Amino acid sequence: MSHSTFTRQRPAMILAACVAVGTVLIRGHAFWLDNAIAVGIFGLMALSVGLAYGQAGILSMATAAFASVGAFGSAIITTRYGLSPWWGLVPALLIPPLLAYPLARAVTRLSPLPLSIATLLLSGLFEIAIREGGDFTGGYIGLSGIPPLLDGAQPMFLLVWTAVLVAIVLYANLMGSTVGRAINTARHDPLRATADGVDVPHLLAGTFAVSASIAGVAGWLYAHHMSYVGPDSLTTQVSISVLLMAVVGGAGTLLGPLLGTAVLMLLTLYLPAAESHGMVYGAILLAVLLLAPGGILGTRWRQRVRRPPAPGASGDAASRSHAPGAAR
Amino acid sequence: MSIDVKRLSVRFGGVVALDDVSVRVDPGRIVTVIGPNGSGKSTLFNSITGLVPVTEGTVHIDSEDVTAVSAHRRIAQGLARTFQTPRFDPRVSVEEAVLCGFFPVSSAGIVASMFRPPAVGAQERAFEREGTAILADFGLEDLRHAALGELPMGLVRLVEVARAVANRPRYLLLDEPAAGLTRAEQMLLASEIRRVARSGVGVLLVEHNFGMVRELSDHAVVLDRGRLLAEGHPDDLMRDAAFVSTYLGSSHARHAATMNEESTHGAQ
Amino acid sequence: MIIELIEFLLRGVLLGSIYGMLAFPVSLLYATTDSVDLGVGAYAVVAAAVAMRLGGPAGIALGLLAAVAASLVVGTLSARIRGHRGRHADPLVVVLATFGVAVILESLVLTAFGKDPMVRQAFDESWQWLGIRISPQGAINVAVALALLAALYAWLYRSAWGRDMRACAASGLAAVLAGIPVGRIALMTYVMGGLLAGIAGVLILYTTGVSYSAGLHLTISGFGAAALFGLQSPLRGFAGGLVIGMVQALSAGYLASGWASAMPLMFTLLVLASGRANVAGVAGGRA
Repeated sequence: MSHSTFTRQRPAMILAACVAVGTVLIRGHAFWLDNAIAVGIFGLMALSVGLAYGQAGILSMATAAFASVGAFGSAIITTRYGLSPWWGLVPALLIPPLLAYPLARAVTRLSPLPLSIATLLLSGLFEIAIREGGDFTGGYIGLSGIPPLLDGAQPMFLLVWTAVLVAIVLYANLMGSTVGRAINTARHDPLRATADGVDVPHLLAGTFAVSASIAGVAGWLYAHHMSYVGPDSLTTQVSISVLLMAVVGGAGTLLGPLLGTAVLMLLTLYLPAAESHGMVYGAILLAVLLLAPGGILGTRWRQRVRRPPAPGASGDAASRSHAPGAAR
Repeated sequence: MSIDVKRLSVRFGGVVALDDVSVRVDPGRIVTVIGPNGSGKSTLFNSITGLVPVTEGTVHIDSEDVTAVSAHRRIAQGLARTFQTPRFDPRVSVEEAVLCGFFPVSSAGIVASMFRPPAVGAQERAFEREGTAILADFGLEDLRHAALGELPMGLVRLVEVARAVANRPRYLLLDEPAAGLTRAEQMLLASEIRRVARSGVGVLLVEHNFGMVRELSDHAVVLDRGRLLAEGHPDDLMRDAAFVSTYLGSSHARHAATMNEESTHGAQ
Repeated sequence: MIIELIEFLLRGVLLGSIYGMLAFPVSLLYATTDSVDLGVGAYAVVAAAVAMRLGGPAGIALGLLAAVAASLVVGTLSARIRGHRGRHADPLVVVLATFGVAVILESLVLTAFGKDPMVRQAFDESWQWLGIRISPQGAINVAVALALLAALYAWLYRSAWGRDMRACAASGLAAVLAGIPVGRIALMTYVMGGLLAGIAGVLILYTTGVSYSAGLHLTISGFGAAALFGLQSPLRGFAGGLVIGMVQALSAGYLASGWASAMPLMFTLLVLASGRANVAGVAGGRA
């Protein structure tokens, strides 16, 4: 098994190639540019879920809440205090982990289920806090007139997907390192990880904090792209949607969450009514969980076709399917 | 420089699992803890590794009192352990499993690993080289890409030991490593353990299999119902009638007594 | 002042009995199968929506039937998913599946019944007792909840199926070895959960009403109530529901209205953080 940079960053290179091709194809098409930006932003949130759930085993339903923190944090300092939107990146990157780490440490000694519920509760609390935030968060009305980061859809598209690429590179570095292995061990068997010298609660909470940071950046991009953010922008429903996207694409893989986001979001473009989105998403999730629980990229499809399972070719560290419950 | 367990007592809810037990493991020696089921072997093992809280007594590693130190920190301080039933993710490859053992000596945190500055990159490459070397030492290089779930138990045990010694611990604690192994696998494991001990690692073994005990260690500690019954060289223990009747059964005790008589007569 | 406080507390009890009813399915399922059905809120909403649309006792009956059907689907799916995974089962995958169904149900209700809130009132006036206002609907809620609690316990401790359920709760492996049809018991637990949630949903319809998106909030409330005093027992779940109901009623009375709905969430969060809902033992070697 080669652990070289080339192998480890193969997903990033594949993504870069796709983005390059995409840039050329959709140049000038406002509709597709807009959708591509949306896929990128929600894809980042799905990546956040992938890191928290796929690698650390924390089924977080607070992704949109952390994104809200990034979105509102940046919106507030740009609309209220007139700072440049680029400064907004700072609260978006730093505040979510400060909230995520203590939460995970406080609840982490429980079985994974109560932690998920805790993230659900946190998400609910955030929604209420935003709604009751009065002038500070814009209350029911929200904050509008948020300045854009860049002029025009094309530059924004490039910014968003550059952010995604950076996230993938860092993610791949993490999972291809000793710490990344420890995270996977801690998810699968905390006792084994402890015997490897791992401080399990600290490591898992730290991973959760990093995933919150990624969600915060997504929120930052969202606020400056939409130029408006309100209590109904990044709700618990959004958290659930991106969770579904990550699982469908393959929560344990690097590119899986992005693929899932693209598939589900583009699918909804062709759906007749907004009301039926839930049914489609839910049905696809169920189909995936029943047939290919590792998600699109996380299932060894060739093994499913062949009768006797092939000897595990572990592939390279970056794209190995560590999806929870992945088929062998 | 040793693992020093002094007057250890462990009680949970009315059960006295260990009562005033003292053990010492010096570097390069192989100490075995033996005794019937329920004698407190596993409790002793888990008290040293930090998974079971201690009621009385102390545990020192290299003169440092670790009685209150958490399990994962003791590993970082030079202890390594295996499990009675190997714990592993069957999808993980042999190579990856051994690489997991380097965590205690890794200086990178989550953020540093993400950004992978040159120092981290160099450390990761060093781990890969050392990992390859360890695989070679244990004769596992050909299996490096095999998934653990496909290997026979004997090899899985071996991988677990390789994982444990990856970070060059000063002490290695093995919990019934011979259980479930074929004779050939036991011999292989025993020779690897001897090799590890020769390199200066202090080994503590919990073992049922007296044959393995005699082969491997020169000092055995016998527990019975939480107390220290006897200790000494396994060959001497074989001749101690009290030990033999407790552990091996009374017919063996008579045999041991006969052996003692003959050697006494022989000397006359 | 005191009258007001008592009114709030009573309102809390009435509200809490609904949360307690939602807690029954959560704790029952968790005790029996170590899993959680995140669709309980959705079952309640489905029952309420059907009862609303069709009206009258027939509507209620059909609403309950719909809830039971939904939970049957979820139970079957969970069994299939758990069957696949076997020893490598990731409990969260099953939870995700229940989530998936909840999302589908919510979308179904939205599509079929629209997004307007649904509410029915059976009683026009409140009763008065010593100067304290009590809503008759609330009294019915409490009565039904207590009746269900009694029925649940009668079932668990007096019937054969109930005994089997308790056996599964004590030890799944032992139950299998004893020849108990664990799969069927699990399915039955899901279905009972659906029925209980459906009843709660209908009662909520006649109390404060529901909208298509209320499912998630109800599920959280049910889980919070169940988890407050330990996930294992429906009785404790009911007590938990009462506590959360009172917390909510008191904060609605004394705090700005927006924050009132935050109180139960924060309360449950604090309880979870304090580790009381912990069910996993200390990981350790064989002692």
